[in-house]
Amino acid sequence: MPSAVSAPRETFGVAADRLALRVLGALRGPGDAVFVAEYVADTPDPLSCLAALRIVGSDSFAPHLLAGAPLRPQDTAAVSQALTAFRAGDGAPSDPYVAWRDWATARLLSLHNPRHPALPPPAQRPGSGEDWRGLSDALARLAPLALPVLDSPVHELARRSGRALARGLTRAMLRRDHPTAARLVRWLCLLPGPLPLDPLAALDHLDLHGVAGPRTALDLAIARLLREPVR
Amino acid sequence: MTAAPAVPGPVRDTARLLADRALSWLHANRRFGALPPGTTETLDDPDSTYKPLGESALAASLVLRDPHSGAGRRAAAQNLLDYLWEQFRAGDLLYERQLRHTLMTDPMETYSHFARAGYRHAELDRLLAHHSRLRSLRAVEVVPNRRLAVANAARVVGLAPLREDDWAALARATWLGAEPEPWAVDWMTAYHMTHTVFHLTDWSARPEGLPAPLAAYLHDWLPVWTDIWREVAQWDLLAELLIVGACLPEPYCDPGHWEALAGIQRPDGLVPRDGEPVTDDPEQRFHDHQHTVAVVTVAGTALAGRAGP
Repeated sequence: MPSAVSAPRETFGVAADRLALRVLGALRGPGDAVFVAEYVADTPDPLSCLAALRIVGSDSFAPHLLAGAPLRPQDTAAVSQALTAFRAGDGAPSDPYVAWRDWATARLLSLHNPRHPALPPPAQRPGSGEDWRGLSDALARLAPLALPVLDSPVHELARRSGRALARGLTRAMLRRDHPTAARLVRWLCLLPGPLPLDPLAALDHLDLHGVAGPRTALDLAIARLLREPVR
Repeated sequence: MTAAPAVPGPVRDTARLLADRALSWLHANRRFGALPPGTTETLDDPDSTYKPLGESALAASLVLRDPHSGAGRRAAAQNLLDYLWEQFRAGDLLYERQLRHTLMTDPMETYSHFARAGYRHAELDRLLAHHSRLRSLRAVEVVPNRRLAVANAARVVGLAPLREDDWAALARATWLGAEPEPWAVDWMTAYHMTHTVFHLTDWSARPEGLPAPLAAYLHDWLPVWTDIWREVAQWDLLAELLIVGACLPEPYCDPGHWEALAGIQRPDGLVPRDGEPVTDDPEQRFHDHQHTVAVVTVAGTALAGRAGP
């Protein structure tokens, strides 16, 4: 019997997968909007949809940032609503990964429309001072930050961690952990400069193996566009 | 300020203890590796006893090569080599096999482990010198890492050495030489890669024999490969990879891996080849795990040798 705690988590996960498919469609069809506002409005379960929007977070901006898709005010309003709907009293999530992902979403909102307030960068620096495994694990959890226009201490850490990311990617691929591999190849596709391995070959390999779910497919599609921008 | 040692003291001590115990096990169980009575140069099943004898000989020869090996270790290694040499009828069997099979390389490769420790067979030396002048032998079609094995055995035996650019060309022809995508490796290819390094460096004695780009490549990816094969308890391959680490110009020796191997070593020195249960039957144990114990002897000896006294 599903417990009261796990039930919403499952529902939110399914909703996030559905939203990821929408974002993926908009990424692949240049000019298509994600229609985030409709996604939240046209549903009997708006709570799950808002949760999904917070989970997908910054990635809902990817079609706009990478494929020229329009971003409408009602869409950003829905994202903003998702960001505030689940906040605790003082507003700061205790999980540093959640805090950083929320920061990224809020930052994109404020860049798009200054009426939306940016959040201060979280004080916690995930992964700092750790070995390549800890570092790549931490950055994999922060893959939604691997988007153009964003910059932060996490990005600075990623730029210094090309080898750790490449090792983490290699480890994930050899372990058939394709979701983690997709998150790490996304960072590697964002990084400039020489890398210890060719991220495109790894990306092609992961694409050809099929993917573990819509959010992994989204990571791979974003990685591809980071490396091979739409002209 | 002095630079940190390439091999930290605690890792060196762990490696040396592992190797000491493993050598003791090889010595104590040596009779299980005896060639069957009446064995001739044709060797119906070379992998069952002939090859393991060579592996134990390699391990013992490296213990004797290390100037920092203590008296007890040296005595055990010498005694083991004496026993193994006796199994080959003081080299006669290797000579007969090489005489019978001109193009086979395993007699010379096996002989090289003994030659390293000063055991010589005059007729075999003359035969090998003759073979080394034959174009036919140089042209035998073998995969590149095997060609390196033959080249290194010839070097150890003292036959005409290759030029430096010949070694570089051989290195480039291997899988490792291509600096391949590190995620596109498999279990067997990983073993082949380790042997490329062993032969280029003569089992850690000549770290400079490894071309610099390949050393840099291995520094990038050895940590990942050791991590994933340790996770699935492939102890034999982990130990082979740790030898590779000991062969690098700047040794790679993650203390966690060495402690993991020490943690699974049995009190008698046995190190199981993988995570499967170990049989109680001593003869079967020998046949199942002798390779791993020999590899661990080589690994610990090679790393401790790089660390110095």
